[in-house]
Amino acid sequence: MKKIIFITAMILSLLGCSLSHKNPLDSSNVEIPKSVIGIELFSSSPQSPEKYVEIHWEKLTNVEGYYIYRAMIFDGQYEKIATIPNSQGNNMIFRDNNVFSNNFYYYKMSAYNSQGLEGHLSGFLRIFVE
Amino acid sequence: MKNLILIILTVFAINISAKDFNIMDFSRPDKYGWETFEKREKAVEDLSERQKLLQLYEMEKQDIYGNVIKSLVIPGWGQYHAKNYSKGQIFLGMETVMLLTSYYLYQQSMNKYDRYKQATQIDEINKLYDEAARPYRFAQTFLGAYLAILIYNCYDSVETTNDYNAKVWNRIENKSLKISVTPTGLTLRF
Repeated sequence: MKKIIFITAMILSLLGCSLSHKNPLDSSNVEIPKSVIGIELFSSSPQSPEKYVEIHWEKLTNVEGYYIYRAMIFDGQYEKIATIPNSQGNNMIFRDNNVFSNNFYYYKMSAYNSQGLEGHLSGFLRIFVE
Repeated sequence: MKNLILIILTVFAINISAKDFNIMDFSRPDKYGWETFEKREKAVEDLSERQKLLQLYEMEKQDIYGNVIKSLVIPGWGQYHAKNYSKGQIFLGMETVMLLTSYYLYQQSMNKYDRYKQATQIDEINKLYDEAARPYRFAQTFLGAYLAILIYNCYDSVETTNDYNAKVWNRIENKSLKISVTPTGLTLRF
């Protein structure tokens, strides 16, 4: 009986040890940046020789800047295409010129704080470039 | 009167003859319950025979602690040494599977954990931590099972060695099947 108790206690103590939260950004002291809101996409007109996608969003307080991600399919690998500082005035606009006509583009955004922690990604937004 | 007594004593002294010295009478074989000297001799012979058997047993028997240490070093080695090959193989197989599985899961966990430590995005941080913690927990479970089996393995090596030693004794005893004489009577050994 003593042996069984000893073995059980040893196994339970082993299972009790979990991985420590060693990432400095994974802490209750670090404030998570707010999610980016008010995101709108605009594409260049079909007649325009220059193709682009323009992204507008609302300026947030207490964030250092914004990341913009893009993918060609909605559940694909989103690639970071731009880092926008929050100090560029009240109109938050980014123009993506690296687009081609007759393609769908998917965008996501997030904000980051002064500690380097990136907040939650927004949901994707889709636009078709004619 | 004195002369008469002297004459009577002289006559009796002439009739008394010295008996031959007999060791059988002198040693008193019945002193410790033996009925005859021959029976005592047989018992002594039987004891000597048992001592020889014991010497043979001492030479062939296995050390329990030695087998426990063997089992600690390589699981199943103690059982294997005690000629219980199937048990030894089972323990070795189980322990190998447990340890390798635990190590594989631990490596998987650490890969994710390294990525978690580098991550800067909150969703990714949470996701990678969960992905690292899950295999880590399984690795711990398998390691716990490994240790539990290792302890049982050591306990079992004691039992297996005892069984082996009992078999050794039976085998040695069976080789010398005979009837022996004891103070209480006849004993038939199988």
